[in-house]
This record gives sequence, C-alpha cells and structure tokens, in this order.
Amino acid sequence: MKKLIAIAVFTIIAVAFVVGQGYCGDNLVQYDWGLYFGAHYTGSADYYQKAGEYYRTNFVTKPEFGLNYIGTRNDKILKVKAIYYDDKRIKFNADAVGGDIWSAHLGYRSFYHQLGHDLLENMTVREVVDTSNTPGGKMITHKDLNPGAEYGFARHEISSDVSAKILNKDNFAVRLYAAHKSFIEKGEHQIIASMHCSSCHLQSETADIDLYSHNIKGGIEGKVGKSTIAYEFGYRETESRAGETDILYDVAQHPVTGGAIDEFESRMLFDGESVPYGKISKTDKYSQTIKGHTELPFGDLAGSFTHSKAENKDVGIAAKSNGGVLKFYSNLSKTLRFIGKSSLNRIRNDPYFVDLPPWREGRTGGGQDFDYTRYSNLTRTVFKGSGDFIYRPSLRYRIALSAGYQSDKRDDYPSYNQEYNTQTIFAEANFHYKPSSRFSSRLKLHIEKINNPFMAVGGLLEKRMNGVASPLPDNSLVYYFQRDDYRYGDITKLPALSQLADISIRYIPSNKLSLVAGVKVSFDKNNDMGTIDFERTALEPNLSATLALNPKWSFYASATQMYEKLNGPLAVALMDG
Amino acid sequence: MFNASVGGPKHYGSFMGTIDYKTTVDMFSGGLTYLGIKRASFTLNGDFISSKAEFDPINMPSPPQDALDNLEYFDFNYGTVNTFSDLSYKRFDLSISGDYKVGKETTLTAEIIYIDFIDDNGYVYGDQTGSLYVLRTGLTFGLR
Amino acid sequence: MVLVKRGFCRWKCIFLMFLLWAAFFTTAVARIPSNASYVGSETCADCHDDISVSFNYNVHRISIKSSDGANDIYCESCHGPGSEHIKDGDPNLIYSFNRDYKPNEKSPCLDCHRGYPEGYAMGEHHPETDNGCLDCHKIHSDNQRLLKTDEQTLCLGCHKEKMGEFRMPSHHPVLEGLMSCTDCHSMHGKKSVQFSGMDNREKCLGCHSDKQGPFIYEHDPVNEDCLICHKPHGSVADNLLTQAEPFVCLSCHPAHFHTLITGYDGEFEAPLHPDRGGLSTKTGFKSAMLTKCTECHSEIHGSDLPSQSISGQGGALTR
Repeated sequence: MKKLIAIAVFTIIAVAFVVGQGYCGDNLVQYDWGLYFGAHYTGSADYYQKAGEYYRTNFVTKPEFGLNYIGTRNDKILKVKAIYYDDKRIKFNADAVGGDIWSAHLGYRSFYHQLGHDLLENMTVREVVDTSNTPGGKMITHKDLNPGAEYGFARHEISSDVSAKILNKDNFAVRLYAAHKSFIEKGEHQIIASMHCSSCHLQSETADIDLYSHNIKGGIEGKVGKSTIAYEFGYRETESRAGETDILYDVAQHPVTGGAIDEFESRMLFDGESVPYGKISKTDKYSQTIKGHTELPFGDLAGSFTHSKAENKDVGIAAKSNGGVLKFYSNLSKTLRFIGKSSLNRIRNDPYFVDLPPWREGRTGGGQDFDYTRYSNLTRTVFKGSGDFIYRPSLRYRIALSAGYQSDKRDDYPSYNQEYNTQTIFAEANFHYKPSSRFSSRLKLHIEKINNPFMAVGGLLEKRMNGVASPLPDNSLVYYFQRDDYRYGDITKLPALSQLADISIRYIPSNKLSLVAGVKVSFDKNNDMGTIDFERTALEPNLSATLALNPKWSFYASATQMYEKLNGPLAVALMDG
Repeated sequence: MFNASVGGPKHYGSFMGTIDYKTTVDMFSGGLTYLGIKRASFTLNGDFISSKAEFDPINMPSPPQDALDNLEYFDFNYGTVNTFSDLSYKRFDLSISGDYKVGKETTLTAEIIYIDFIDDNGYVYGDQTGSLYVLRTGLTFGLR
Repeated sequence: MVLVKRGFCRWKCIFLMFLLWAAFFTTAVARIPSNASYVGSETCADCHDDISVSFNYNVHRISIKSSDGANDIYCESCHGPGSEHIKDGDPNLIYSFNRDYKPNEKSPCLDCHRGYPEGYAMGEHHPETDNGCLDCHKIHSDNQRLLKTDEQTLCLGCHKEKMGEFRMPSHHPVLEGLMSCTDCHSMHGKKSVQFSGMDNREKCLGCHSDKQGPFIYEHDPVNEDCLICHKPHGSVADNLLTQAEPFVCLSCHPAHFHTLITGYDGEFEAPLHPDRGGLSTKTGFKSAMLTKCTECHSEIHGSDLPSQSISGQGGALTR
C-alpha cells in the first residue's frame, strides 16, 4: 500500500511539474496519458506452485491499476509507466530528460516466486545385516517440522540513475553520473539440516528470507575533443536481516546401542546442541575504475583499469582484483574492420586458517591435528586476447573471422602453491548473406581447444586398501580419512574440444508470409582425463512461420526442439565400515 | 572406520560405470489475431512444451571376487538408480484476449490465461501436476 | 545480338553493367545538392506531421544541439539540409537511413553514441546486423529506448531458440515480463573480451550477490564459472541446473559408498528415536544418496559454518 501511494504521489507531482504552467506563447507543452482500471481473479487446481510459479493463487478478485504518461515541456520530457497487478507484482518506470544536459530514471519492479517443498520421502531406510532381511545397523531418517508449508518469496527491485553535464562546451564537456540498484527478497524457504552421526537424520524446517542488497555507482566523465576519460566507483553491500536459524543437532552416539558417546563426540565439531544454520554472511564489494577512449586517425582506442575488493565482513576475508582492458577498433578499409581486445586480471582471494580441535582428543591413538589453511582456486591471473576481422563489402554479405586466446593460471589449485593452468584457444567464423529484403541467412562456426580444463583433481577413484593400509599408531582401526592417501583420478564435465555450428535462415516469400528456420549443433569432448572419455552432443532445431492472411487475420506457428546427450561417471568405493 | 584386525580394511578399491544422460525438449507455439470486427481485436496464443531429462540404466562392472565375498549383503546393482531423478514434464499455456473500443478514448479489455502443468515422474517435491487460470478485465481511458 | 569478338563483348558487358550500377546508385541514393540549406523542423512538420507529433516526445528532439539561428533544425541534423527536398518533395534529395546507410560507413548514430564509456563499440555484434541501428530502433518513435517493439519480442524474434529455453520448467521469468534480456545482456557491445567464466560469474552476482563470498568453505566450481552447473535461460532440471542432480554432481564427485548397502525391506523404527522411522526398501540407501545431493549438502555455493566431522575438516557444505 505504501508503495502504491508513493508511486501515485510521485506521478502527480511529476505530471504537475511538466504541465503545471500551461501553454504560454512559444512554449511547447504536449502530453498524452492513459489510465487503466481492472481486476483479475486467479484460481488453481491441484499443485499450483509449479504451474503458477510466478503467480499467486488467491481465489479472490483483486484490483489492477495502470498508468501511462508521456509529457514534454520545451526541452524536457517525462515518461511514466506504472502497472499494479497485485501487492507483490508492481512495475514502475519514470524517465526524465532535460535537453542534452541531464537525465534521470527511477524504476521499481517486484514479483513473487513460488518455491518447492522437498518431501524427503527418499530419506527413510535401514540396513540389513543378513540375508534374512534382518534390520540393523545404519539408517537414514527424516522429519519435516512444517509439513505442507508453502514456500516462496517476493523480490523487489528499485533502481535509479541520474546523469548531468556540469560543463557543456563544443569541445569540452564534463558529466557527473550516479546510479543505484537495490533488491530485497522477503519470504520463507525450506532448510534441511543433516546430522551425521547417531543416525543420518535430516530435519526440515521453515526459515525466513530477508535479504537486502544495495548497489551504488557513481562517476565523473570528461570529454575533450575526441577523447573521453572517466573515473567510476562502485559499491555493493549484501546482508540478510532474517533472524538466525538454530538447529538442534542430535547427540552423536552409536545409532543402535546409544553407546560410545564419548568416542562419537570426539570426532565431531558439535553435537547435542543448537547451532546456527544456513547463515548468509554480510558481504560487500567496492570497485574503482579509470577508463578512457580516444579517436585516433587510424581507429579508436579504449582502455580501463579496475581495482576491486569483495569482502566477507563476518569473517574478514576478501578477494582483491586488479585488471585492465585494452580495445582497439580500426576501419582498415571501406569494407574491412578490425577489433582487437586484450585484458589482464590478477585476483587474490585471502587464504583462511581453519582451526579445528584435535580429532579424538584424549582417546587412545587420537589427537590428530586437522587444522589447515584454505587456499582458493579463485586466486589466479587471467589473460585474454582476441582479434576480429569483419569484412562487409555490401549490405548483402558480411564475413567475420575471430580468434582468441585465454590463459587462467591458478596459484593454489588443487592445493597450496600448485599451479593449475588452463589455456583456451578459439576461432570463430560468422557469415551473413542477405541478397534481398526477402531472404537473409546467418552461419556461425565456432571451435575451441582447451588445454587442461578445470577439473576435480585426484578424487574420483580409490585404490585398494585391503592388505595395504594399516591403522595409525596405537589404533586398531583404519579410519575414513586415511582414504585420502589412496585417491586418484581426475574428472570434469568441461570439454577439451568444443565445436559449434549455428545456422539460421529467414525467408519472406510475400508480404503475407514469413518463415524462419534454424539449427544449432554442438559437440564437445574430453579424452584427456584417463578416467572416462567425455562426450556431449546437442542439437537445437527451430522453425517458425508468420502468416498475415488479410487485414483481418494473422497467424503464427513455431516449433523448437532441444536434444542433448552427454555421459558421466558413477564411481563408488567398494568398502564397508 | 574399517576393522583392520582381520585381513585388513574391507576396502577393495573403486568400481565405475558410465551414465548416459539425455535431455529432450519439444516446444510448439501457435497463435492468431483477428481484427475483423470494427473497433475490436481478438488474440489467441497457445504453447505446448514437453521436456524430459533422464539417464539410461547404469551398467556397473563386476567387482573383484574378494569384494563380492567380503562385502556381504551389499547390492552392487545400480540398474534402477536412473529412475530416482528422471524428470518428465508437460506444460500447456493458453491465453485468449480481446479488446473493444467503447469510445474514442476508452477501451475495454478482457483476458483469460490458463496454464496446465503435468508432472509424469514426480521428483523430491512429489507430483507437481496442477493448473492455474487467471481471468482479467479492465478499462483503459486515454490514448496510451 | 551477334557477338563479333569474345574479348570485345566481355568489356562491353562490363561497361554496360557499370552504367546500370551507376544509374541505380545515382537514382536511388540521396544526392543532397551542395546549395541546399536548412529550413527548420517546423517546415518539415508541414508534411511529416505524423512523425512530428510523436517526435515531440523523442529524446533526440531535445538533445541534439542543433539550432541554426532562428530555427531548430533537429530533423536536418540527421537527414541533412532540406531546402531542395521541400521544393518538389523529392525523397532522393534528403538522407534516408533505410535507403542510404552503407555498412562500414560511420553510421550517423555513432556521431553521438560512440566510444567508451557507453560501450557502443563499432562492429561488436548488434551494430553489424543487417541495417545497423535500425534493426532494433525506430528513431522517430516515443517508445522506451526507441525500440521498434517491446524488448522481448525484438530479441526473441532473432534468437528463437531462447524462446524454447524460457519455457522450460526452470527458467528466468523473461516471458512472464518480470525480467528483460537487458538485465543480463549488453546489447551494443561487450565490455570485455568474448569468453570468461569470471565475466559470467560477475554478471550472475549482480542479482545473486549472496553467492559472492568469499567463503571459508568453498565449492571450487563456484569460483570458476556459474555455467559449469547452471544454464542461464532455462533448463529441465531444478534451479536452472544443466542436468538434474545427482548426475551433475557425479560428473565430478564419487558416490557415497553407503549406496552399496542393501536396505531392509519393511517398516522400521529408529532404536533411539521411536518417533523416527518409516518404510524402508532394498534400494533405500541408493534412493537416499543418489536422488538429490543438496538435500544434505545444502550450502552448495559455499559456507562459513563448518559441517560436523572433524576429519572432514568441516568442509562438507551441509550447514
């Protein structure tokens, strides 16, 4: 309701601003408007949350309003468009321009998103201990503390931007600009906590969603002759204002006898207590950019340098980045254009020391230290370079050839000081052929060769431990974590070779009929892993027709298909413990 | 943990099969617009989409004999695992709308939206089959 | 016609073709006489009043610095001086964008809409479509951003396969009108080089900033590229996943060894918690651990809270 009043007040003031003085002499005042009043009734049957994922079923009639206004007074223009569908689906846009000096925008939109409710019906099982179907041993159970709960959230987004030239001469101009975007998500969602020992028990509860993110950007831009230079800063802050959700974890104990509590507890970080769950940390990100562009006799040159820092405020770790981009465009001839781009970016994500209590502290053979420093695969140096040649001898033909290279050098993956480098080379050709206004076609061919794509390193499979692995000193048992020394096998679903062909044809045989047909084919593979040979094939044909039979009747029909096939592993350790 | 006292830990390495995953989507749309009545227009749009994502039954290799002997009561057959997460949906959207110019600057509009969602293979959310309809009507004043 | 000599005929044909080509271009292309002068937009409106009325709401009317003494000449700032054109209404004596625009020529639009920081780089994707700017924009209109029609209809008119993707069971709500293509895509030029997981990641974090981190316990592919696991437009699987769980997870991770355990076939009660239990099946462990991994590993994008096991070093992303 408050939002509606705010929108209405703003609109009235804005309209009054534009037309209030009325027509006077040589002043141009013109406006058009439209008002909409309506209502809607929403109903549903059975499970409506999927059919109406973005609707809210109310089974009551709700009013709708709309406003569309455009007005101009001399060198100012104001446009307002507002639609109120219900209290969770509103759209509002207002744009104002004053000559070539200033412009402003204010926008708001909201919608509701229904979420599913996991029934956890697959989380019920007990182990058999003999061939006579005798239950015993391990089990998995679940409990839903809010059965039948309906989950969803409303997302609200407010945006604004303003730009003003503070100096505006023929060859010299200075512009200030600022923009803001906030989004707010409010609602409820399902959380599922899984408790490891005691029994593998899952507990489902309802938790609030109350997420805020504010994003501001501002800058100053100076234009001198054919050159432009600008400085821009950006800041984004995200936090959850939902109250902390605590979950009571079971006491860790033998799931059948209830004994060995001390032993089980010595292996857990927490058990038998309420601990926070699903916390969204407060984070922010700021960035500063200097950018420039100039027109040279032989082309355009543009470049920028950005420094940014993304920080997790709750734990005090940050990822810093410094990077620059350089672009060059040149018309090599009347029919040939070249675009060259390159960028270099250095990202460093803070490591974090994870301090853990000793494992099985105070117990025979225990006391192992599992402290470690978490290093991140985000820490890397990325270099990219590409060149495009675009040949356009006439409106009929266009040929574009591109090639590029990218290198990702990760400093600490899969572990500290281990460099993991991925190098990608791509080539692409684009052909456009349009012999007349009735026929046009596009063909795109893309090939990418990736050396060492990102993958899960050395963790898919396990070597035999029977007869090989021994207990640690003072222990009679071999523990799960000792499996880490026997793991091997790299795996990924990213290709080492990727190929794509995309063709599209538009044919307009007459003023009444238009046909569009196309197909996209892609083929990826990776035979370099040593575990499996990965292949992916995708095919997407589409066909559509539009027929304007006569001024009274028009029809359209379209068919789209998507087919994708790929393979992957199912790897399981043959063990019992 | 494994019992290491008798023959060493019951751990016989890994075995691995290949999953072949397929996604198939078919979508058909159609519509018509009729402007034959003076001061009125009528539009009908329909969309049908059938989507499936599933993988073939998984054939795992035979485990080593000592694994078969010592991992008693274990089930090495993964042939039905594909059925747990197979997805198969159909969705039908229909919208019918019309508007009529009541006066020079007044237009009456009406719209019916119908969405039918069929879940042939319930996932963790259960059977998500259901439908939704929206009936809308309104009056527009002004030229825009 | 009898051909006397082959060589002579070849040159004659070429010359005839040149004449025809020259005639075509001289009659079809604007030839604004050099003595043409500006007449002012009010004069243009005398004949083009339909354009003139809606152009009053057009940002070009007020932003083009074009005043020639007494008369505003915003029409002629783009179309050229019109004095000769108005004498007998010859359309060839005024610049027409539809007719006279040549590819690779500096589009008049780019006189103002050019260069950094707007990002309207010459030759990047859309400016190279068949008719340059006019493929998407209707310059005289008063539509939002001077687009020919609404954004959705415009983009999906060429990118038809995306229509199908937006209709899939899990999708960004573009067809519902709750989001637009420009929320994610920059129409006029990419601000960075073509491909990069980092760029995809930054784009997604603009709206999904709660996934930014950095987190204590990370999931490595989240730091690489969101598109390793997700499809941006639409997917059959939940949550815009490329494939449904567990397949997408098994593509990089082994399955739990507990999936080998045979389940009891019947009703059971947990010994220590009589309120827990239910109907167990032989494939119950497989069903529990090979249906949806995120039922347990719910904090899949990263977390600051440790999971239970010390030897697991708290990084199981279950909390």
